[in-house]
Amino acid sequence: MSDKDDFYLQNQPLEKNLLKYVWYHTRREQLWVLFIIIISMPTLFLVLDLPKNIINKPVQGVGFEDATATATFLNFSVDIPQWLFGGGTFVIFEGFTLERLSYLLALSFSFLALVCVNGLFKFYINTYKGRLGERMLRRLRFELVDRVLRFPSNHFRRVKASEIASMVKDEVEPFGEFIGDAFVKPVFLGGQALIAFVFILLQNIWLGLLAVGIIFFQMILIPILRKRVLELGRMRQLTARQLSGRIGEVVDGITAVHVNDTSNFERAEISSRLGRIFDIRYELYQRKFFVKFINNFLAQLTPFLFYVIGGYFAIRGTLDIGQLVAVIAAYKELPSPINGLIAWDQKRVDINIKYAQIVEQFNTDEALDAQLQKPTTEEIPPLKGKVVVSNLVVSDDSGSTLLEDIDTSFAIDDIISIVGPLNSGTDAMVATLARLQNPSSGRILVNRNSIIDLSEAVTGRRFSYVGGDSYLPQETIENTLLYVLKHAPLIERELNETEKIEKVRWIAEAKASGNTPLDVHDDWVDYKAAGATGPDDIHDQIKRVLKIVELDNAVFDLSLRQTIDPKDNDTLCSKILEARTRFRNRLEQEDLAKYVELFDGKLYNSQATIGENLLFGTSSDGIFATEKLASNPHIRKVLEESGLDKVLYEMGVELASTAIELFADLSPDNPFFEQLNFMSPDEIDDYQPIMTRVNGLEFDDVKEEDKEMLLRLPFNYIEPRNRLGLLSEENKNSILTARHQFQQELPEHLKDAISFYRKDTYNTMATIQDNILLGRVAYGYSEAADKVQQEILQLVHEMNLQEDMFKVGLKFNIGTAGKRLSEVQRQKLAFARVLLKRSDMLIVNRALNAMDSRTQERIINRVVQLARGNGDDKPFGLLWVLMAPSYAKMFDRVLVFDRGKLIEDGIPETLAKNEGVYASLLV
Amino acid sequence: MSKLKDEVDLLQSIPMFSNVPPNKLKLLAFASDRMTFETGQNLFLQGDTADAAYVIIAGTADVLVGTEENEASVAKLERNAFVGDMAIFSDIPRTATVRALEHLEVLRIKKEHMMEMVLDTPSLTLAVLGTLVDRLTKTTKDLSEARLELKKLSA
Repeated sequence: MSDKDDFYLQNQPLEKNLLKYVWYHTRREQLWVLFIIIISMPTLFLVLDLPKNIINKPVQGVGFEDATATATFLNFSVDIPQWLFGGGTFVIFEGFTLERLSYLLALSFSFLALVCVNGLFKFYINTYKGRLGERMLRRLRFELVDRVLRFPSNHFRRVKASEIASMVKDEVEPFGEFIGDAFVKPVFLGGQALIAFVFILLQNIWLGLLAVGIIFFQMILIPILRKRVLELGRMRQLTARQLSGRIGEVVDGITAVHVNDTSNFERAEISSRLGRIFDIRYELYQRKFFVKFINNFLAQLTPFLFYVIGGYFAIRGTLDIGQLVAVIAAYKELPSPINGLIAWDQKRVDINIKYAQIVEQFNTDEALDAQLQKPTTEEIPPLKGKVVVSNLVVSDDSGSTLLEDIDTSFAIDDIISIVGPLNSGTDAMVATLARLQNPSSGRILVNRNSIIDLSEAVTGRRFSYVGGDSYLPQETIENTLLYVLKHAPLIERELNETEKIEKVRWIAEAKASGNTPLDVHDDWVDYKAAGATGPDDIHDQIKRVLKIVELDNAVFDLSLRQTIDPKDNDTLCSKILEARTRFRNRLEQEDLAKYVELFDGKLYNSQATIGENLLFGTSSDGIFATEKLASNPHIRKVLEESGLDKVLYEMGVELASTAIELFADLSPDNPFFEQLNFMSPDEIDDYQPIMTRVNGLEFDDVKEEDKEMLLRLPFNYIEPRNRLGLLSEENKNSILTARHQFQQELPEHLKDAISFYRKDTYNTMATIQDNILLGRVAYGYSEAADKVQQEILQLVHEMNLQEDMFKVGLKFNIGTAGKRLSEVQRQKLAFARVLLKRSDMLIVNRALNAMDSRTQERIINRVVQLARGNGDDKPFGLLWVLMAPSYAKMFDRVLVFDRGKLIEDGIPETLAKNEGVYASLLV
Repeated sequence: MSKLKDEVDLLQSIPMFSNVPPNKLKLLAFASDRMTFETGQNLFLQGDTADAAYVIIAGTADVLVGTEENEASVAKLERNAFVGDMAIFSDIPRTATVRALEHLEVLRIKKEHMMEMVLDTPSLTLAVLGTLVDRLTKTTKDLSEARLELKKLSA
């Protein structure tokens, strides 16, 4: 098959009619189901027919009038009509001759066998249809996403992301079920109805025509009534989609909602949409049920007419009574297939509308040719030569001109800066060069080939583009960086035998639904392109690019906040334990002891909460979370046995009354609440009635739930912070005893629920920094946290742990849209990763605009040096839209844009001396 | 006796807070941090942005103005001195450096808490106003005396 055939379908607009679409892709399967249904018919008939035979013959004794009578079982013979070969019976198998009881058993077991066969048929048909539907659903979704990946960038200015998601995910969902029945059902039901009709027509032509007439009337009337229903259906879909788009907007813009107090406006907005959806749906129901009512009425009208007219003719003697009875009986068979057909048709129209609605959104003439995204594992050779821009004009959606008649040319490895105010055409220029925007007229030639015809394998690997607002999905830093190298699966993952078989099945299934067979779990990273040989030395390259953008130290800092699993990082963990020992020694030597209070199994840690002191570890799955301690039976047991429960309860009473005294009349958003560490603002109201109830009661008389609520409070108490003087030395000692007892008595199955603070074990649940510390930074010293962090950094350097820690830092999860990083860090990360690609031309569009000017200058300088080939790397070209014109002096050439035109072009130093626009920008 | 109680009593002895209801003072103390500074350590530096005011619980501190090379001590602070209060009411930078002369215990009152308290307690608002007026009067008096002095000299 040639390439053209491979991509032909992808480049065609999606079929607008769902049935045609389904037929195109599944005709073979549809015919196969039909075939299976037909061959299953005899079994079905026999299953229905046999019980009658069992009752009539062996049970009631028809044909077994005397005791010795027998019957023939499994007699297969065909009666040949008189007109063919003179008639007679053609016997295929004579059968067995059986007595009455054996006959009963034979028939009953045949029935059982037939039930099984029939059930299996049904099972097969339903599964087959289900699979058919699911495959089509998978194909459709994949095709939709495929289109999204080829949409031109400006298309997304019109379509909201959450609307696309809602279409691909929810709106196509009901199709799966329908697709399996799309052709089988109407054929099947239509056949049934047709047979009944023919029978009626044969009995009496007039009554038959009457029935046909009414159904014909139904067929005309229903679509008219349904017109509005269909329109409502369309509106329902559209409003629902807009709702999900709007909800997406509210979530994305939640800050604006809070800072502007517009939450109620949003509520009203959503409510108005929901109201509209309600109205549409309610009208839809009314109309739907009206159509149903008409249907039922007409279905009942026919027998009425049969009785009246048929009866009249029968009385008059023109119609045989037997015929009338037969006609009415046959008509009784009609409603269910007819209703089924109507229901099917209703669904067809409904789904077709939904389908058309979706397809409309995904059919755009401007979609990128699929051929240009053909996956290739081959290496793309470096680009050399020239880029020629001639008569280039670019306009936006509204038709206003962004770039006018641009003519210029440069070598791919030239080092060029672009200068101009916002909206001066600089954006459009680099966007067109990065193929994010299509030229309206004119062209850009890369070595005499139009840039539009270059495949993405070339533009995406040999060119790089980075703007100021790169979207970073939730991933680790490492994966965010490596993303730009994932063009095609290069190294197949190793599979064992079962996995290999599973993969073959998986690929076959993907192909059956027209999905890509490329495996996302293979290693896609193009290490060679990044200048590495494989996963082992890629970190050197990562470090190199992070250094250029000054992000390497931040990654190291982040590593201190990471938790690691000793199973994967055994050596690092043991080194961290060593660091812990060294850190402790240092605390004593360097007069830092007052800043950290170390955890010691035999001592009460006054900087930690009472809960922490009791538990003396980190809860791993929430069983021993601080807020649950008061209700935990193991904790309660040790508290009771040591009498601590009463002590803590009294502390709880004290804390609750203090909180109520100080906070009861404050509004929940008052800044003072931040300091209330043992109660949340909305709990104040819960504690007031509790305090009234327990007032004057002895500890033993307090209700369990009140006791629990009050016991919860002291678990968060820290004496140096709260300074209420509630913790006596005696109580501290009791807590230490309770701590010991709790550890001793902890049942085996809960051992994994806590990782205890132990001098010689790594705490899996705690961060690296906490593991080195194994203690708490003390309250009351403003410089404590900084001093401790500095000390740790120094220690890590001394122990040469930077490399390992760096790798741990790379595993830091950047959060949704990279929100766990600062904006500057996000820009640095986005910039670092385009450097990792080592492309031939790097296009930069104000990508550092969140940084201060000195940082920008340093980074630009480093990248320009790199581009000139001053490092070990090969040189590359730069096309950099600068924030400040003064930076242009670092480049060999500057293009100055103003109002969509290229107004100056030359060497920065020369232009600076002329009295041109560039010179005026520098002032 | 709890430290908190001690701090509330201390706050009460400061003229600005003397008319503030005890439960409000307790809230203010509860929300504040008790900090320790060693000899030579700075509470804050001249020119810093102000984020808190300090009440001295124990020890003495020096108030210094001028550049790093040329500092001059303008006042000494002792127990129950309230310092750094003016800068937190407006967005002006610290007008002086405050440095511990010995082991110093202070109560650090955050700007947002102090503001909230002033807004919420009319007696405190008046007291702040009163303090301001006193200082202004003193400054004006000093100024006119200085002018007089200057006149005598130039005459």
